[in-house]
Amino acid sequence: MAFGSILSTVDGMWDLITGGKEYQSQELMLNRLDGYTDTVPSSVMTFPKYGDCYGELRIESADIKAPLYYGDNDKLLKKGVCQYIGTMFIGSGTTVLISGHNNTYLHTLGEVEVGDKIEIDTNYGNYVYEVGSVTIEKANDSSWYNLDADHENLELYTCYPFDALGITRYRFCVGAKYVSGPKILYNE
Amino acid sequence: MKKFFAVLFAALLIVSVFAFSASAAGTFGANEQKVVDFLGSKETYKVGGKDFTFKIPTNYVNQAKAFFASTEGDITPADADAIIAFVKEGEALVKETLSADASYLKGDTVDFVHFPTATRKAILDKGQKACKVVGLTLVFDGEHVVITNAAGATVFDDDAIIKTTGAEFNYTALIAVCAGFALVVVGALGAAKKARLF
Repeated sequence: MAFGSILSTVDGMWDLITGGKEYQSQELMLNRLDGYTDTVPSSVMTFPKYGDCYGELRIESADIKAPLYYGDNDKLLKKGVCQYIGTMFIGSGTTVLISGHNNTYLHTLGEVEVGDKIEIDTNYGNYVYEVGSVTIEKANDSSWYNLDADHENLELYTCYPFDALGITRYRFCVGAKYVSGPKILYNE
Repeated sequence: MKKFFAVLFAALLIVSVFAFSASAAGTFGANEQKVVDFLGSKETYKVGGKDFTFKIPTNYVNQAKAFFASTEGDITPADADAIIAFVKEGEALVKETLSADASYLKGDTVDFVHFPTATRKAILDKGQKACKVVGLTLVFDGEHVVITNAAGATVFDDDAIIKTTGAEFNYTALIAVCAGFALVVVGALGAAKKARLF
């Protein structure tokens, strides 16, 4: 058991060194829908349930490519980047909050700069956001995100410092504005 | 206030009688919109002589909206009216409790966990029994509320908005590594002593 624990620690340290898990494809995504660029009627969408992989997030400038899960419990955060279910689905015209671990998929988030593009392919449309802010915020300070926003925007965060272990007081936050992607028509 | 809203939300969800599929196409009907609009509304009243604004947190309302949107069809007008009436009754319970004792209001937060036991229990019992009627399960562990559907998928939780996303610190592994290192050191010292190196 001790030997197994040692191996687990070494494995974790290796992830820290190498930047984490490798992710190869979008095959995890459920019931992919193509062809909707400006709007998408909700009646044709397959909405994710808690725990579903429903997209892929990419930030080319930081060499980030990660599966996107709906829900953000500990188990899901080990598998990819995760959307908090207290924010609406991407394309709903309000704030989307996504998080990921600082020693796996978002290990290089610190390389993101204002103006960089964030792409999120979902099972109902492909979205592009442009980074507008990169800040370090306190985890218990809610002023850096606005769940009541009336415009589509993305807030992406991970624990800071990047090499910290365990619970940290700060979050590395990337705020991005909507550029393109289908708006969900909930009444159609 | 968070826990109170969570339980109310659970109860109002189960008042609506509709079948749903965990991963399915959905629409957001007019009656569901009516409920969501009501959930997102505010009401201000006096507590202890000061204005208090009653508002269900946006992250809770969003979960309700996401749940309605991901289900096929719309709820009936009667169900919508029933949900709204139920939430108003819940709010009345809060008002009554705060009117009796304004100390339950801590700044902007209602100290639900310290409400009279009977009041808390009444709200929780109502939520749990109502959830069972339409196949939803509400679990309250004394700190968090999670509502799941018949398939076990989470449809609501009141967990913290900002999660811990740092590398996990494996204390067990650290102890094991330290113990192993200590053994190596002791063994090396023992061998060195035996070899009369010091």
